[in-house]
Amino acid sequence: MIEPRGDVAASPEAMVVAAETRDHLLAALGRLRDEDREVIGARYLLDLSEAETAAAIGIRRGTVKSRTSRALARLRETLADLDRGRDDA
Amino acid sequence: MPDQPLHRRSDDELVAALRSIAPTIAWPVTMPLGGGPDVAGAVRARLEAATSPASAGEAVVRAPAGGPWRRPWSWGPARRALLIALVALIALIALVAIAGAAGLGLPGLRLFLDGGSVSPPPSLEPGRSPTPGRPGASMQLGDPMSPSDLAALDARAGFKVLLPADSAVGSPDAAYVDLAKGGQVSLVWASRPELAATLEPGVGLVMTEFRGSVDPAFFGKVVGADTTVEPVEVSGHPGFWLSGDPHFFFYTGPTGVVVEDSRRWVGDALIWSDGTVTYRLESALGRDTTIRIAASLQ
Repeated sequence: MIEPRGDVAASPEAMVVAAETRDHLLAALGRLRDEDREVIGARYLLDLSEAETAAAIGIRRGTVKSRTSRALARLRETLADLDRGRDDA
Repeated sequence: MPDQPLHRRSDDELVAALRSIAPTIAWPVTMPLGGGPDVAGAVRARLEAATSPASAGEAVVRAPAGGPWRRPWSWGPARRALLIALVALIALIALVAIAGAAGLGLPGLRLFLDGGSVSPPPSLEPGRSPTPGRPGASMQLGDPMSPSDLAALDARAGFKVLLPADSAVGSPDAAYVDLAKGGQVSLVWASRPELAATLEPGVGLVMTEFRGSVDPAFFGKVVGADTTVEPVEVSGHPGFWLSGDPHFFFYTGPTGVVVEDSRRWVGDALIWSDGTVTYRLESALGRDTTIRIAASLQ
């Protein structure tokens, strides 16, 4: 379950921005394909190294690099789609 | 530029934003292979165990002058199988953990958080009268079967179908098997004074059972923004209690195509797994009663 841990002191404004960023990123991550979400999750949410990510997912280390790059691009596209959807609403 | 929309930021800034949300994620503690909140640590520990020469049972061949160790490339079948199993274990932990980034994971089931709203299908329009015939007949649950012929149900589903022994529930009034969903079994009880009606008129309880291993690409479940997800335990097994908005269900078929289930859930739902079969119990009975019914499965 995703919930704030509440151990970070920040201004109310900063907390709102952080919450919006988090919700926005999680919404976009939730729309990615499994393989994109896996590699982004391993590299940046679990903070695994490329070698660790390769072993965890079962792909070559070189593939981690290319897959991460593609996954970030798709994440960016998804974030843009979400932004457009919000603007249209 | 932090003020820029996320999609316009550089890769480094986007990565920094991703890393910044990691500490705010409470990872699920119900992963079938353990793990706990320190998911990254658990994955690392498994990785180290898998690559450690001692734990892998490998002979270490040291290079002269204290150089780095290397292991012989030609492993015996047993050692290779062990390593494959370890790597598979790690992969499963990682997959389940990463599923947790956007939701919760159970074998064969993935829960995704999704803020988007979903229009209810026509089958759940309010004010409908109960569909005549066997309960659940209009819910597209698969081929009708005799609810009393458990042997036939087991054979059709490909696994042993369990029934609640709780006296308040009694025997199901209808049973269905959907072979297109890997032998998914649905048992339906008609509503009555002890079983309050769900969102599906005339239906008091729906129990769904499916093998998690049938669909390696996972079943999926989208949880609406107004749905509350609470980790629970059913007879020692991890599970989740979902209450609030009706949910809808999709799964990834064997060919990788995402298929949306045409049926939204008819009430609050309890989901749990015994490690092989995943169960879903939808009712209007509340969490504790539903867990009690679930715990009586036999």
